[in-house]
Order: sequence, then C-alpha cells, then structure tokens
Amino acid sequence: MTVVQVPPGWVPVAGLLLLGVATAAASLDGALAARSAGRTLGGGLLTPLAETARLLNQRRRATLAADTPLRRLGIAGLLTAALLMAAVIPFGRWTVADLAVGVVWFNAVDVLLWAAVWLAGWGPNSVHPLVGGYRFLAQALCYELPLMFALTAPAVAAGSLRLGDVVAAQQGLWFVVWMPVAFAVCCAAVLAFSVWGPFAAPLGSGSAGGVLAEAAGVDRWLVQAGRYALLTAGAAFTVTAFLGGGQGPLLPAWLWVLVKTAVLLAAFVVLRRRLPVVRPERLAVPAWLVVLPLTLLQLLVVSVVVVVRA
Amino acid sequence: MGVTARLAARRTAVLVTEVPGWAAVRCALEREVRARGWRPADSPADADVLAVCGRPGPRFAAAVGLAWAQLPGPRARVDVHEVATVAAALDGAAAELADAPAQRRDAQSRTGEPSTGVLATDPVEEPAPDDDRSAGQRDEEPPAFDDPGPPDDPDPGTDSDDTGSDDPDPDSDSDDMDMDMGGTDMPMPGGIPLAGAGDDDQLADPDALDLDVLHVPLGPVLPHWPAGLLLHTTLQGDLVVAARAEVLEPADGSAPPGSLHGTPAGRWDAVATLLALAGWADGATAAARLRDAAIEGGALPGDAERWAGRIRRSRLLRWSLRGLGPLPEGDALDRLGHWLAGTERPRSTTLDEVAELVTGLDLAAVRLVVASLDLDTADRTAVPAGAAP
Amino acid sequence: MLSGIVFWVLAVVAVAAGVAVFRVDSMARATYALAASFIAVGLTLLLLDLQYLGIVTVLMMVMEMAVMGIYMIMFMGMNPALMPMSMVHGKRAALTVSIGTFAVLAAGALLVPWPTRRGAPAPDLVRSLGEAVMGSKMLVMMTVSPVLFATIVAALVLALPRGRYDRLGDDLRGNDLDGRARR
Repeated sequence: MTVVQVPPGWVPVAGLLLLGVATAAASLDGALAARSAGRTLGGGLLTPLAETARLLNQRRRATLAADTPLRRLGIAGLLTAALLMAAVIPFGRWTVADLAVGVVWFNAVDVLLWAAVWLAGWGPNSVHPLVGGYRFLAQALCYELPLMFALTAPAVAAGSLRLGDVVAAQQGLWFVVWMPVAFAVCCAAVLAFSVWGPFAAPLGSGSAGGVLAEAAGVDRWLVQAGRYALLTAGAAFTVTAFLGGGQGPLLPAWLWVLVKTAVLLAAFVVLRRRLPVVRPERLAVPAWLVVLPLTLLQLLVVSVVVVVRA
Repeated sequence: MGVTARLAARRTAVLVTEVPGWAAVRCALEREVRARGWRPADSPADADVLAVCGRPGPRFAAAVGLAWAQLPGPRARVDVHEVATVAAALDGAAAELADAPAQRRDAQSRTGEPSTGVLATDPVEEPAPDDDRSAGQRDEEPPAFDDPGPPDDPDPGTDSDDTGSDDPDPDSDSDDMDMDMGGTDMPMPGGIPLAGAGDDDQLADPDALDLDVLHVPLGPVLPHWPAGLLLHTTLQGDLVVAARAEVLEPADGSAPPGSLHGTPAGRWDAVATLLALAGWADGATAAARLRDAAIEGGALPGDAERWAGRIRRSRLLRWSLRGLGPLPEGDALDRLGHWLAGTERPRSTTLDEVAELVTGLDLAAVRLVVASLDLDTADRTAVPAGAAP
Repeated sequence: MLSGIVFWVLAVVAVAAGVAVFRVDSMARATYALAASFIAVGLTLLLLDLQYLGIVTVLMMVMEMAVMGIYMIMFMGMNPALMPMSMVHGKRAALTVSIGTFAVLAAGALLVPWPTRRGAPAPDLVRSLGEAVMGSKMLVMMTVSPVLFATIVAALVLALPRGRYDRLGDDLRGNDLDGRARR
C-alpha cells in the first residue's frame, strides 16, 4: 500500500482529527477521574469541553518583568509541535506530508519541545514555572537518547526513514514483536515529552503546578491541549512505527490506525491514574545505566537480523 | 445560564486554605468540592474560588488577600467557619461565579498591570486592601528581597569563567562577563532588585557555582501544605540552602477544639496529602474518600485494607520517597507505612527541625518532606530557643 | 523561483537572528535567537534536497541551544527580566578576525571558478554524499564515535570535583550537604 500525500486543503481536516482524538483522550481521563472520586463515569465525559469553556472564559495573567515573547513562544510551542508531528503520520493511505525522512522529522519536533517547555517556564519570571522548566530538561536528557536509538530500530528494519515504508515493512510481523525494548522506550518517551503520567513532574502538583503555576486563560488551555495533542500524536506515531500502522484484516487501513491509536492512548490515560510521579533527579541513573544500554543492545539485535536476512 | 457558562461551572477549581485549627472544616469543604465534580486548584492561577477555612489572624489575612489578588477572573471568595455552612457557602460561590455583571464589575475594578506584593517578613498592622491588583508575581506569597549589597562587589561566580581576554577593552565599562552597569544604581527590572550573591550563613554550593540566591517564602496559601506554615526558604537554583519556619496564627481565641491528628481520619488525610504531592491522583482521591468515611464514623470500608496494600506495594512510590527527610525513627516512606498501618507514634517536631530537614533539598523534595512530617500546626507549644527537642 | 525566494528569506532570517544574538537584552533571548539562526540554516539545507541533513541539523541545534541556554544562565546569572547587557568583549581582535574571515570566505565564494556539473545528481543524494565523504572509512567512523562519546563523558566526570549528588552517596540515599552521614 503506497502512501499518497493529500492536497493542502486537507490539512485543517487533519488538524481537527488530531484534536478530536485528543479530546476523546481527555474525556476518558475525566471519566476515570470522576469514577475514582466516587461519581459515575459519565459525569466526567464532558471534562475537555467544560475545561475549555472555563479556560476560555478566564482572564489571562501577566507577571512582573516577564519575558512575554519567549513565554508566548513556549506556550504555543506544545500544540504546534503536536500538529507538526501529526503531519507525517500516515493515516491509512493518506498523509499530509510524505517526507522521505519522516522518522527524523518526528525526532526533530520532539526536540523542539525541549525549547518550548523550558521557555514556558522561563517566561513568567516566577519560581515554580522556572523550576518546572528546568526539571523538564533534566527529564528530557534522560529520555532523549534512548528515544533516538529506539527510533533508529524500525528505520533500520525497514531500510528507510519514510514512515510509509516503515508501515509496509511490517507486513507479516509487527515490529513490536521483535523490538519490544524499542517499543517500550518509545512509549515512555511519548509519556515524557507530553509531560504525562509518571513524568509529569514539570507540571506537577508537587510544585504548585510547575510550568502552569502562573498561566491562566488561553495560555493554560494551549498547554493542556498541547499535552493531550502530543500524547495523541505520539501514540499515533508509535502505532505506525511498531504496531503495524494500518496493517490488519477486514477493516480499512485508516480505521485500523484509528483503533490502534485509541487503544494505545487509552492505555496511556489509564497508566497516568495508576502511577505516581517519578522525581526527575532519580531518573538519571536508571535511564543512562539501564535503559540506554538495553536500547543499544536492541538496536544491535535488529541490525544483526537485518544483515542476516539480506 | 448559557451552555458554556454551565459547562464552565462544572469544572470550577477551588483553592483551599486552612487556618490552624479548622481541619474538620477543610475536610468537609474538600468533600463537598469532590461531590460536586469540582476539583482542588494547584495555584491561584488555576483557581476560580478561594476558600478560606477558619478565621485567619492579621498576617495570615494579608497573605490570603495577596492570593485573592492573584486569582484571574471570574472569581469568588468563600469564608467558612463551620462544617454545616460549607455546602451553602459553595452554592453562594457558584452563584457569584455565574453572576456575569458582578464579575464584569470586579474585572473592571482591577488594574491590568502586574504589581509587586509585600515582603513576607514585613509586620502587618491591618489587612492590606490590595484587591485592586490583578496579578502578582513569583509565588503565592511574594518573596522577601535579598539585600543587593554594595554594588562594587564582583559577582563571585563570574571570575572563573573568564574567556581569556587579557586586555580588557578600554571602552567597555565593566569587566568581561559582568552584567552590572558599573554605576552605583542597582538595576531593578519591574521594581524588584536583582537576586544577588548569598551570605555566608547558608550551605555552601556543592558545585561551587555560586548561583544567585532568591528568598522564596512557601505557604501559607499553598495546596497540600500544613495549615498556617510559612517556610522562608533561600533558594540557590532549586536547592534550598537556608530555611526558617514559622506558623501564622489564627485570629485570637477562635479556633475550635478537637483535632484530626492521631485519628484514623487524620492518618488518611496525611496519606492523601502525601500521595497528591507524589503525583498519584487516584491514590490521593481514594485516601481522601477513606478519610471522609472515617470522619463520618463507623468502621472503615473494606477497601481501606486494599488501598493500604496497594500503596505499600507501589514500587515507584517507594523509589520516590526512599531516603527523604530522614529522622531517627525513619524516613518519609517509613512514616507513610506507619500511617497506613495505624502504628505511628505521636512526635513533636520543632520548627527548627523542620527547617533543618528541609535544607539541602530541592523544592519538590521539600514539599514531600513537609507533607511526610504531618505537622499539626494547631497544637503548638513554645520551646525555649536552643533547647534539645 | 520559489526556492530562490525561500532561500533569500531564510538567509535574511539567519543573518538577522545572528545579529540579534548580540543586540537583545537577555541571555535566554540571545540563546534562542541563535537557535533561530541555526534553524534557518538547517532549513536552507532542505533546499539543497538534503532532507536528512537539514532536519538533523535543526534537531541538533535546538537541543544544543536548549542545553546552552541553561549553562549561559547558570554561569552568568540573568533573570528573565530584560537588562541591557553587553555580549561583546575584546572588540578589536574579534572584529578583525571576523571581518577578515568573512572577506576571505566571500572572496572565495564569489571569485573562485566553480566546476561545471558532470553527469546528473545521484538519485539518493544523502547516500552518495555519505559515501563520497566517508567512503571506505565507514567502519573507522563508527568505531570512533562511541570512543569520542566516552571520552567526553569521562572528561566531564574527571573535571567535576564533585557533582551535585555526590553528597548523596552511590545509592543516592543520603541527603546531607556537608557529607555527614545521617542515618
């Protein structure tokens, strides 16, 4: 199945699709929160709409001697990065941008998040956001190298950096079966760059809301929407690179992508409810001494298999 | 009310402040907030409603006033003194939030410019009428500012980073990387003096970086924080290098008797606070519900045992809390275990001990350690300075 | 035509952002102005049909600028407030060297006769570029890079007298800043 690039008129549709799936994830999160608080699941389904209504109705805040251009760049950066990530992901037969280097594009965009979250923390000239921004960078240093090596594995196995080729190379066997470490690292990295779940320290309630401590109104909405959108785009990418993308019997390819992304996204949302937050300074030792060598070993195994198969 | 207003009202966020002694009111308020589908706010920027449980003394009231000024609109303020009035108070807050003309008037009466607060160490004669500020800066409580010191002191951190320019250009008015203007005027962006170098009576920087030092008071208006505790910290980077603790008093002679500490409800309350700070949302909510069940009386439901087991078995939590806040009896993880098992022994902690435990940790670890100490700020006895604990 | 316009826009952005590094009032702005300049250069590589190199340049530069920003602020102690500051020092020597280098490079670019193209560009430009540059030395390059990485890490470890977490001991369990054993 060759992936075809859609005309530019479809770009807003792709953006809306991303936001729609992200809203569904936020609904699930709200429903689970409602259930754990003792109310029914249905009580929390309207959470994204309600929160949007509340935040768009709220006034923005300005802090003293803030660096406004950098702050705006940082805050808008999350949602922008999510949209850029989603641009290369093949949705069945269609994609917004059929780049020859789709895997590297995804990696480059998630590095942009380093700048975005730090700027969002630096801009307000306030203690808790600043500390939150720095903690994000501390976490980012831990997950970025394993992520880069984990992304190399499907590219090596498919012999190409184009995401359409990566999907096509999973014809008989999904990559997750023989690259489980890379899949796990990619999932963890998606959680980490979305500042979600166990890696939510930069936004955590342990530091008065972290990067969001001084944000209100539209700024807050952009960051929160950006997080859910990043989670969605990351899940979609992981599905494409490791879970076969649109491969599957019976259903059309785009529906498979949607179903698989929804399942992975639901797993991410449930994981957040069940796990406490990891302290970034404690993450460094396991990340560099355990996860990185394991990822390199995984890459070695994949490379050997590819060479032997050829 | 329009659809959007009704939708927005479903997600009202409440910033809860407890005055020492009114813990039962706070628990009732949190329970009511949860029952309505609302949620506790993380910071003033996140909050729609500021709820004060109890009658604060003058300094505490000034701090609450500053937090009130930092809430973006639309906002409502609630002061509750008894458990019975909690529901009605929250109904009033909801009505106040829905009252669009009143909110518009409130918004117009506030200036659009951020402004500085007051020093946390300033004495307060009467509550400061500063509701006309629309946004504050830095923390829930504005910092006490570091003394800039004499302007001709070279910044000790820069001389090691000389990039090798050995003949300083005669036109440049200062040496290489130094940022100061060479004049005697200290630059004050936004009216706040720049952070400067630290004093000698704080911990030495382990990396020998000599970062600038900032005084940040933590509390008293801070979620998941002991009631009325004001911790003056000196931050270098995000490490606390010096700390001093004090408790802000409630208004004289008005605290109700009875305390939550030592009861099963108090234990689950401490567990809920620690888990909320550790980032385990479901665990914190479950612990809060168990606390409410314990307050109501009767035996705890069956899932108390189940949750206690789950919390004890959580390896991520153990990894996060291990080694934090070590006291002779144990660290934060051991204290959590005692709360879950119901075997904690009452211990009196001096404020100096709190300050000492907290020194050398980063901000998030400070929050965890303070939460793990489960301080009962309503029950205090004066200890002569320098006495052994 | 379109690529010409894009090239000129990116070139102007790169130069303007580079100038902005020395004109802005805060360390963070200087760092991210430099990042913008690098991103423009990386995007210019896309015009040469070197997609991989262009995007990898953007990736590396943003990551480096994020880390560099931390170091600049750590060593120079600026707050987010905008303070007039002077980023230049040793002006005379730097001006001489930079103007001289620019003159030499510009003269080379404009005056040297470029060779005419022989044949057509290879179908996979990045691969052929890689083979032309590294060719038979690929194995050496791949061995050298982990050695380089290990050297950098080892040099850092040896250069730092004490890390921030040294006081916590090997298992990160203690927390006394003075190294006194507690519990």
